[in-house]
Amino acid sequence: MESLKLGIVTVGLKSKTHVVLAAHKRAADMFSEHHEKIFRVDSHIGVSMAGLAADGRVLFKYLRRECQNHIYAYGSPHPVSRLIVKLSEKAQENTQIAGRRPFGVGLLVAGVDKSGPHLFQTSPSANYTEYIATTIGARSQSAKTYLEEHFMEFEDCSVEELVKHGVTALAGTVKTKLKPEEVSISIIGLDRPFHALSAADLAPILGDIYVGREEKSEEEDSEAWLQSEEDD
Amino acid sequence: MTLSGGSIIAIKYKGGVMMTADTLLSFGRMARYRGFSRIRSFGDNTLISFTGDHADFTTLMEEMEKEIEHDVQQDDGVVLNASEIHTLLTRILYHHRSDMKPKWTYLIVAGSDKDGKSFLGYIDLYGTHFECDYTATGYAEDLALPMIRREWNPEITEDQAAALLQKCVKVCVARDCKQSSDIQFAKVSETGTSLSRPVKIDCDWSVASYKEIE
Repeated sequence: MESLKLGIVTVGLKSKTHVVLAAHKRAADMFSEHHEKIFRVDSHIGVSMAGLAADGRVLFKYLRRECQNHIYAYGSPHPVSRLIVKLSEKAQENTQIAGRRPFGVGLLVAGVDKSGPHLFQTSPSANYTEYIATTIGARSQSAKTYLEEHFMEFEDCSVEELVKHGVTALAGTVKTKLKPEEVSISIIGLDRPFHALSAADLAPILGDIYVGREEKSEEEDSEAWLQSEEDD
Repeated sequence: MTLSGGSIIAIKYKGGVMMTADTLLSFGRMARYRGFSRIRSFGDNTLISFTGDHADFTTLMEEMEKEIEHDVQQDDGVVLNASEIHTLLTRILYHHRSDMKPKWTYLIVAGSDKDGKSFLGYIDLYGTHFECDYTATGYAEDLALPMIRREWNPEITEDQAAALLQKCVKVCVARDCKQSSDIQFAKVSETGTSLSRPVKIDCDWSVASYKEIE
């Protein structure tokens, strides 16, 4: 369960028509590329992960295969809730069978099906919960606080507003000002399949968020960090 | 030699799909069992009917029952619709034919979604499948389809559809030696499925006699 808190922060939120995943892409060091955080499972489902990325990929590959199998067998996209059940059953085995260890990764699974948009969080313990908005990863507490304050508005939000809420929640979790290439946003809508926003799309959104807001000083921020650790 | 079922005719109408099949199981050319319903209703929005081997159809339906039961057990509101059942049956039939053990059936799957969109699909024993506005299997493919092609249009009402099927069945009864005159009608629409009791098709065999000409 601890591994969830070690991962890089990722935020998910949904309205009546759309579900958005936002993630902070941190480069391992100054010479390395940014790590992609959000993955397309199918045209109607995306996941983002916090924790061991290697374990995350195993689950992600499994989800992709299940979606493809469903399309082959039934000719229709996999219902999101059923996919989560399958994922949970797979994760549960690892908590019980001798010689195995639980998957050290939490997933945010965002998807759209006949019953509308969905956002699920899964955990290494094989528990899963559906949310209107949630966040996982290190220092996600400040994002959670932001989401708790605003989640009542999300239902009727437009995509643009939803993305802005996501990015704002994300921005609260990092010490520095977010750069467009550090943020990864993916959107799934009832009428539009999985698509990611480019850095060029993100620049104006980030600009709006930081308008009139001074960059937090290192000192203040390190206190906020301690605070969030206690909350966890 | 085993038990087999005869023709099916199915057409879409404005608001749903209507299907008709006789209620006879033949043993070769012998009319072995009468009063057998060849149309099955699945869930509240799907109808499946077969031409061909009755035992193979039963096997397929047992597999479909498992699928439906799985949905019921999950109890999450997710249920298979007609189009999904059609695709699944296609895969199963193609799998069996690839095993060189085809399930000797021609299936027609009809359904209607909650939003009123109707579905009609055909599958044969090789896994050949398509969606269509009207279709028929067995001898009705030759006897009824040309009549439907002439008269069918997308705006056809339920009553017109029933009259058209009645007309087609009458020709089938007259010309197909394996067609029984006890006919069952079934329809599926937004509101669900309904199967009629077997209806006797009125056949005037006096036309077969040359008395009046003499």
